[in-house]
Amino acid sequence: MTSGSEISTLATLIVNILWIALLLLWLTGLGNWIQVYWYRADIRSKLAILGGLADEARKETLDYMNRNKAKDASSLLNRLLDFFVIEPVEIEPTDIINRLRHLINIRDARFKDVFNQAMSDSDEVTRSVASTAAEIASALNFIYKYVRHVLLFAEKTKNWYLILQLAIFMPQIIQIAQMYRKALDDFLYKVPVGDGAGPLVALRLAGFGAKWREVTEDTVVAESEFEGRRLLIIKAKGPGSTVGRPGEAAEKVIREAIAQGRRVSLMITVDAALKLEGEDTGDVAEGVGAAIGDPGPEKIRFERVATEYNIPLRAVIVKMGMDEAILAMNQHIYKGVENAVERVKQIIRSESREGDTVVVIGVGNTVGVGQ
Amino acid sequence: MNTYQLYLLLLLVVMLVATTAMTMKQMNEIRRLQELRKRPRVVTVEECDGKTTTRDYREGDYVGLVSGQCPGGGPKRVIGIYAIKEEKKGGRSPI
Repeated sequence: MTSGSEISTLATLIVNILWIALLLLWLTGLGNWIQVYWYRADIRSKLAILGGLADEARKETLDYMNRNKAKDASSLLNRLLDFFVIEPVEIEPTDIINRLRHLINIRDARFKDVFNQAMSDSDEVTRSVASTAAEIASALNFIYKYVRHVLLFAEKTKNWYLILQLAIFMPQIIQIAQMYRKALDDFLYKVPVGDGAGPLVALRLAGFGAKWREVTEDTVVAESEFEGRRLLIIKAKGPGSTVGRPGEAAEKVIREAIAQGRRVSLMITVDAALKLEGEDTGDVAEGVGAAIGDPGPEKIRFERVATEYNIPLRAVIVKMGMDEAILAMNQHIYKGVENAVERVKQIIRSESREGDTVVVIGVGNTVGVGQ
Repeated sequence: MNTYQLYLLLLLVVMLVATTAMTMKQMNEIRRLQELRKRPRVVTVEECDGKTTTRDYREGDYVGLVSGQCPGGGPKRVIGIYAIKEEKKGGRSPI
């Protein structure tokens, strides 16, 4: 049996060795290596979660397509999962908007065509939902593949700082992926999403008995009266999953109205907008400009037509979080829609006169919101 | 308690805390994944002769759908659909 003083000496020795080991780890950079090793293990475990989410999304989309009798669903989905759009040349800005619009339209047309062919027995709503589901599955697939790429590239090039950076962003990336995964269920369920606030405001303003006509692809317009003003109300054609072409439609409708000798005195765009952290979901705010979150081609049409005819361009937004915009519309946003309708009416009353024509555009995805 | 036992105790405490923290972190991630599978309750708002009623959402519902006939003969229409978001306990942030 060892005595107390021997144990004490042994303990002191162990502590000293520990200190020396720590010093060596710090001096040789081995400590960093151990840290990176842990980060890598953490990223790999989260990468497995991302892979699981991407696989689940693919499976759910495939199930939906098969349930709706899609032809050769598996190979179609595999093709779409890696579908990409190459952005137009930016160093030559001339006509960049037209080039971008052209590419976006081709992309939309391709998606629409392949689903029209593969799901010819299904209705338009089912096809549009399948198309959106494929886009979400594609986004999740991309997130997974991109994170995997960064990790493998960092390991290959021994760039530990890249691993550190990735480890820092991983919780946020996981949150985004989980949000997309949840959104997929809501789209397949065909309920209105938060981004549908704009179309819902448009529908409420037009009234449920209004006559709608398709003015451009997937976009409809209705005429109604409000306190002596003629309202031209534009929204995407529902209840399928589409955002339509609101800019193109607004431009067309305004030119038609002016050609008929009408005085278009006001344009109001209504859209869902990202709230700042700490703000309440469903809050309504107003401003000037085009409230639309597209890459540019639609937004610029609002601005150009408003400038050409000197029409005041006003914006009303319903605030929400990034996740709330693509998940099922919640009660706060629903309440916000009701408030936005009142705000639009208030603006019309104060900024137009009786006999004027006012154009109101409800911007956003119209899934679950018909006419 | 001698110094050796004290160090041993300290080591055990550190290991216990680390294990608990890692288990809690793992549980948190599992809980979050389970929450992902939880669907919120979705309700459909219908209007009939100026009165609004709510019921559970049924597949095929959409805003604007004529879902039936009112006793007065007019159309019963879906005027809204929304999910009931569960509020987190603890109220508003004091900031």
